[in-house]
Amino acid sequence: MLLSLSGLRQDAQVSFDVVVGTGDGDGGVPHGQLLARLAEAMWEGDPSALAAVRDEVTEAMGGDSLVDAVAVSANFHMMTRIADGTGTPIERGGMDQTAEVRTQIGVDDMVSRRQIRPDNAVLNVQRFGDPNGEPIVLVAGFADHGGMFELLGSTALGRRFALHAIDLPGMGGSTPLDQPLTLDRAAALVADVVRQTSARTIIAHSVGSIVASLAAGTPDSSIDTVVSIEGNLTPADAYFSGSAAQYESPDMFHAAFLSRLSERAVDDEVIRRYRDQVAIADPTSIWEMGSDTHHFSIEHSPGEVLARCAKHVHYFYNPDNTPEDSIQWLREHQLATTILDGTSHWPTVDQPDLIANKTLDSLATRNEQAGP
Amino acid sequence: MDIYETELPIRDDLRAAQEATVLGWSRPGTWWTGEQRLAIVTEVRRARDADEIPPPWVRASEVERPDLHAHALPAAAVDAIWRLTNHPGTLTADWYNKVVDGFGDHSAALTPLEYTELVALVAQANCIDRFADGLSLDRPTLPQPVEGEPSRSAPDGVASRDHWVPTVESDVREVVKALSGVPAEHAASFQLAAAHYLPVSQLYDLTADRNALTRMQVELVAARTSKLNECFY
Repeated sequence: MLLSLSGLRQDAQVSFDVVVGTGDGDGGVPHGQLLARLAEAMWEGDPSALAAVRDEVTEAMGGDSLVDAVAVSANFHMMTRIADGTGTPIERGGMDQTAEVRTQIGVDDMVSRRQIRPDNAVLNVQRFGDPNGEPIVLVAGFADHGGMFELLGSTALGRRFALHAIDLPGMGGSTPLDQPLTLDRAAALVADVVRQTSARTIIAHSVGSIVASLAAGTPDSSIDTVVSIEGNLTPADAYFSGSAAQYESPDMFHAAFLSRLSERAVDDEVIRRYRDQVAIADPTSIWEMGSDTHHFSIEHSPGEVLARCAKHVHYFYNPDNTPEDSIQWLREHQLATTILDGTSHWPTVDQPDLIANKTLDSLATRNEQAGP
Repeated sequence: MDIYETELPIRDDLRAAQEATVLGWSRPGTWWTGEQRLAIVTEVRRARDADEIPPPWVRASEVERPDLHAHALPAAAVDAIWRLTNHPGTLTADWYNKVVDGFGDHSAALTPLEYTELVALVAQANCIDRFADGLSLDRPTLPQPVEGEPSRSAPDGVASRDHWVPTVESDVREVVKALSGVPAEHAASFQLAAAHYLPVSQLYDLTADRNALTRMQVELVAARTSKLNECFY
């Protein structure tokens, strides 16, 4: 906040990219990128990374600047805890005055933001991309959070659309429900966000695709387009989530799931990111949702629910990540598909530009079909 | 007391402010004894240095402190210290209410002003230790506790208002008001902040450079750190 004001007072053009961590430049502040990296290294606490950044700061700015920058960062580790630990409210009238800056640095997307909303909402919705663009609702997969879509914010898709990424209950920054988390209950919450944003498009990943299908299929939904990224089509797709039904308790499932992921995460940064999200997810919520996914996949055909949920449905997948049953299902059904080459199961994480461009192609085709 | 043995150019006022804070931890406070205050700081260090940090929804006292029966602090205080230290961006009013309720164990409950003093100590310890860690210096050695009872003195007019914790009404920014229910910790925290960052009185002198950094550089570091901590305020 005071960064923008101090910039204004000194006739400097300050950019908040460096504060958010999405830009490569200095944000209009001399050595801005370097100072931001110092703050990040202090926050992460990796001694070798910290030592390297310290050397860079000392060489570029001198030892006095290094000490002062470390002192300032340390101070804000204190002030953060004072403010958040005491439930400090924003100044009366401050919300309106600071709305633009708060949007730029993503304050309204923070977990603690939920607690002072007038409706005391429990669903955390992260926002990326152009806040003035056409809205798209994003639904993360099993035990994941909306942050899996964050990199889309700086792609061609993010430059044109406002991306509203939902953390399902008990995942990411959303609190657990006080009743069992089923796909239907998750879909009802997604449908609420769709209503609030008037979005016509949902992009959903993995199990989130079932949730999105159910949300899009609710009466009077504004959704006419669903882009499913390796969404569940057959019971075979529930290889992660569906295993919940095999465990007697949430904690047993959580521990076993984490153990399974940890083995695969050793040499795989993408899996490691997912594992970290699973680690902080509420065991009961993901156990309930996983069990419901298992039963839903047996009682219904997730692929058919997806295919009929909206006017335009587009399925993105890498055959290398797709079970044979689902590839067979795709052969037997008329669904617009795009094959992704060389992507992981989380392509918004490892190839966000590819997903952005394929999505824009899909939306362009939709618009052409709709005519002038 | 020479808080750091280093050739790094640490300003005298910064050293003095940190030394005063560390000594203050060892003295009886408003609601906690000197021994308890040092135990709070020690627990902050345990929480930061743990190999496996429990996720926010797990109470640290249940998994990390099997020796709690011998601890100077109630379980709810230990839980609060770990959560404040490791997951400050996840704090909620509901969680605060559980802490002051002792998570259902009323014998372990904290009063709101005990909690306020604890927040201040956790915040100060995070500040000083992160400064030391940031420069790869040894963290300050903790002094021996000074014996004596807490003053147990609440300021006039302290009451629940817009913060979760009780505060004293005044015409200052809300974050400056946050610790006003425990004036000694309010003063200690903002003296530390004055040396690390700025005195409150200079907060809106936006063209003033601060020591070796320009004001914009100071604010950039402040903003990036706050963002990383997901500080809503």
